[in-house]
Amino acid sequence: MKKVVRKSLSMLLAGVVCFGGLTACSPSSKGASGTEAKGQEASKEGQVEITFATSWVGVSSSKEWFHNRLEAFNKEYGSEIKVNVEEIAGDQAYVDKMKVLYSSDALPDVIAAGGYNLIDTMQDKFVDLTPYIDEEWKNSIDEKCWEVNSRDGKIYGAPISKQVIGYFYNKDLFKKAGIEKPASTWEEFFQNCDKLKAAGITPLSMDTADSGWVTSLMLGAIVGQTEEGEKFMNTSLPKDYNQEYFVNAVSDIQKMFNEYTSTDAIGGAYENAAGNFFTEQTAIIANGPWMVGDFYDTDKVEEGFADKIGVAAFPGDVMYDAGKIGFNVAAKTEEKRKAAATFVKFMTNEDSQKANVEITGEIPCLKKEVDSKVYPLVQETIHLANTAKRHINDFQSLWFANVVDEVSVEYPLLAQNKITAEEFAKKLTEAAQKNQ
Amino acid sequence: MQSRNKKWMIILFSLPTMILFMMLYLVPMLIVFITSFFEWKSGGVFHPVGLKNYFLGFTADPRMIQSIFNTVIWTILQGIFHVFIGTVLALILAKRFRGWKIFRTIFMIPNVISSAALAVIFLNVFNAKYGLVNSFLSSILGKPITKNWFFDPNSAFLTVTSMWLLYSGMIVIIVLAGLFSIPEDIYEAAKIDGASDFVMDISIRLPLIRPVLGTAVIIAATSMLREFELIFLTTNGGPGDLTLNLPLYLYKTSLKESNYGYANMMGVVLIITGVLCVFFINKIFKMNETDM
Amino acid sequence: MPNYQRILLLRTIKIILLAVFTLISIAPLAWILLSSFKTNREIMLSAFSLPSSFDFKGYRVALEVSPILRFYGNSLIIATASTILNLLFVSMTAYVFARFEFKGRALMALMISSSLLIPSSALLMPIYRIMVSIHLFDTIIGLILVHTALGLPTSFFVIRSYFQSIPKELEEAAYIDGCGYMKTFFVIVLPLAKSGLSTVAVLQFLMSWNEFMFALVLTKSEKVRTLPLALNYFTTQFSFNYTALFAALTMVILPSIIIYIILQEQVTQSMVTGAIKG
Repeated sequence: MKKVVRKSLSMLLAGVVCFGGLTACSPSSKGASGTEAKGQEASKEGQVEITFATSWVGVSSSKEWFHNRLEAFNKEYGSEIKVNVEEIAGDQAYVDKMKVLYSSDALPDVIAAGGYNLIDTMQDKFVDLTPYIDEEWKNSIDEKCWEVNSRDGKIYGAPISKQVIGYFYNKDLFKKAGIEKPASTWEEFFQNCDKLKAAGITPLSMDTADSGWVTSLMLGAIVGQTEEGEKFMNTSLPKDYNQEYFVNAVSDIQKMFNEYTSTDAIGGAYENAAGNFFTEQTAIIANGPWMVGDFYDTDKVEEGFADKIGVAAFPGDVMYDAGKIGFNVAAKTEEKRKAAATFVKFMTNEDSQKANVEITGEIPCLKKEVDSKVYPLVQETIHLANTAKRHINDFQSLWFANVVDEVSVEYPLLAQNKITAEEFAKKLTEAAQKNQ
Repeated sequence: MQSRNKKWMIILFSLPTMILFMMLYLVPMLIVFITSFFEWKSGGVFHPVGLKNYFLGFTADPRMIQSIFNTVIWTILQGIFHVFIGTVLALILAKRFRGWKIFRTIFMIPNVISSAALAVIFLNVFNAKYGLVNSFLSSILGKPITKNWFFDPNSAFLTVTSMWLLYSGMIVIIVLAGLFSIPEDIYEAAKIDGASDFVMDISIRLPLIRPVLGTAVIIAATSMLREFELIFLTTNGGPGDLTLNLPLYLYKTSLKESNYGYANMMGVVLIITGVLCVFFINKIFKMNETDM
Repeated sequence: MPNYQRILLLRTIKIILLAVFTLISIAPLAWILLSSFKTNREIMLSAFSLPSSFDFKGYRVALEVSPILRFYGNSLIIATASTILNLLFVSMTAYVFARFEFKGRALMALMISSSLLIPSSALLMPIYRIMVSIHLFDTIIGLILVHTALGLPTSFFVIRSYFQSIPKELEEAAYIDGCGYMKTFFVIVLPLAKSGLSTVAVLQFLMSWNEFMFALVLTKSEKVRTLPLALNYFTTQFSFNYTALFAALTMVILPSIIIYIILQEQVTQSMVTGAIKG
């Protein structure tokens, strides 16, 4: 027993020493980052080590692509740059951890939040990439994609892909309901829904959980059908949703909830919406081409499912077609910044983007068209985007985080007619106003 | 010699806990208290505003009032019904009939399952389209039921409550351990008097474990004051703010709105509520009296 | 009402209660277990149907996709060590709080009860910084200390109440016999509170076993990470593998139930021996 006591005593002493050290350095914010950098000096002569945190692990569709490209990078730059990868599974966990690291001034050197916009909250810790971007790099990528990644003329992100989204429909079910082709106006769209319904088919996959992703894509597309609406759906961080076109679009969503979707849509998440579409219980789902891979996965769908699926632009020839947030760099020393830029450039070069679209269905943001072996549905989506009349961006990239959250708690009320479209718009406006 | 030794013992025995406490809790606690008087948002906004956060919260933020209301209701329900259920089950198991150990293990199973998994399960159980509850009701009533339990404003609150109210395994083992630490001979006299089991439970056993019961209530109530994961992963506080509680609102305010000062004001409100809770439960169960 | 009828009625009520609570307690685990054998398509088509065949593909995928096996050892070490430390530290403190009057007792108890309610989002950043500054970031020891501290308030209240319900006379007899405080505590008091200590051990172990946020923020390498982090490998925003997720869940839950049973067996043991002595 005495041994235990003595041991715990010595631990106590250690604890006191620790605490002494803590009070000495905790008020200053420098303590944290300083010690961390120290631990990493033990690299090979002349080799720069950078850290990269990624959520491309587990079942993430980008996992295979990332491993291929990292290997290729190591082959080419392995002697100069060593990339230490930290795996963080789960998008939400990734963002949460970045926020803690940000407030402790200890972000990894390179960040890729998979489309989440961290620029507006972490701008002061992100590196302006402009000095590292040469003419060739600059010119190879679509202007629109640089824009999304820039603030006040400074570039905070290296684009890797574009956000291109239409909707998928089940040709078999359409035929059963006697529908020839996807609608070109929303009026026709709703008529088609009636036909599907009459044939005993639930027309739409919808959801409300998380951000109500599938539903909100529909909402954005309805908003974006007019010139005003298109402008709204390209405005970053809008604060006023009390617009007629927005309220009207919300009414249409309300109608969809009331008449054209499954009973599990209210409260459902993306998985439920996708599940209903995969199992052919619904005929239409709005989502991007990264979903196409699943159409061939016989663990999720029946053999030959992919052949039944078509892709279409939203009525009014509206397509989501916008830049996406890419890789961010938060390295602190010039040496590391340079190495990080080299890494990021490699990960977003033509080969990388080509591999990306082939493996994951993420659409490249290159200026020139690349010749790549992709699923026909992906090819078609790209084509639809190129020829669409109106190009919009998605709500998750544009709206304040708390507005996106508000959407998910107000949808159920809207769907059950407990609030009107006007009240819905008012709630979003109130949430948006909270951001200074 | 005794009194000097005693002093040393008190210091020595409380030191490890206190050091750990100061290392990991004191600094955060001070930060929460101090910054609750600041306007602190992302983008470098940081300046003192006095009591403004508190004033805004209690006068101009109906959502906060609603979330406090929900939190209080849930805490009271948990402190009473949840503990009641656990105590009844513990009293039954305390008779040590054959196989009682199996039940003690079974009741604890839901506590072993992570909240994330439980949330998925409950979303399926209460699902409007294929959920167990609706299938069950449909077969009993003989007509299709498509009630959306979690998201219908009329049932949302109760459905969320049902996720934790009945799972009192933790209370069972706390109370059970308390019952087992009562020396057997205390019962003997009562048994000779011919008191029935039921009477003995009420009049002898429960009073003897008064401090343990008080602790069970504290644990149940304070865990409810902290609960947010299950709500976050099922209704996310919705529909509207019907199932929003203070921890979830705090989480949203700090992570979605990056309004840290305001969020920490809620943190202070929570801490004070908790301390008051513990204080009153202590008083009710006379837990500070060591005259057992 | 005749006596035997009343007994019968009470008995029936007991049996019904036990049956109902057994059912609702087992159902979630049963559902996870069954789902781990279904294909993703089967899960999407019908959440409550039985699997069409019992194959272990989900388990294979789960082991392939996530480092779950590597995380087992870490979880076991961290949960066990933090449980031992927590029990040792807290039982000592709770004892003096339950038995002695001293200056500052009320204030310290107040501080501990207030730490019950600090939102963990407020704890994350400061604790991260502290761990980095004392070089315990991304170490097993760091995570052990933090988990020990996280369970501190709960353990404190539970253990203190058990000490309060132990009669004082035994210790007093020990002191009269000339036992020191140290000896009295470790030899007389702790064994008496064994059932309470095991209860706390169970609570603390499960907390550490399931804790996610601090395990995520305070580590960066796989050699330190714990099981709950592995569960995140199966669902991302747009892709999911339910079968593998449920398989992984089963692999996380079952061992903790076994550990729980072992710990509880300890209680029963000590209880039986205690009864014989008494």
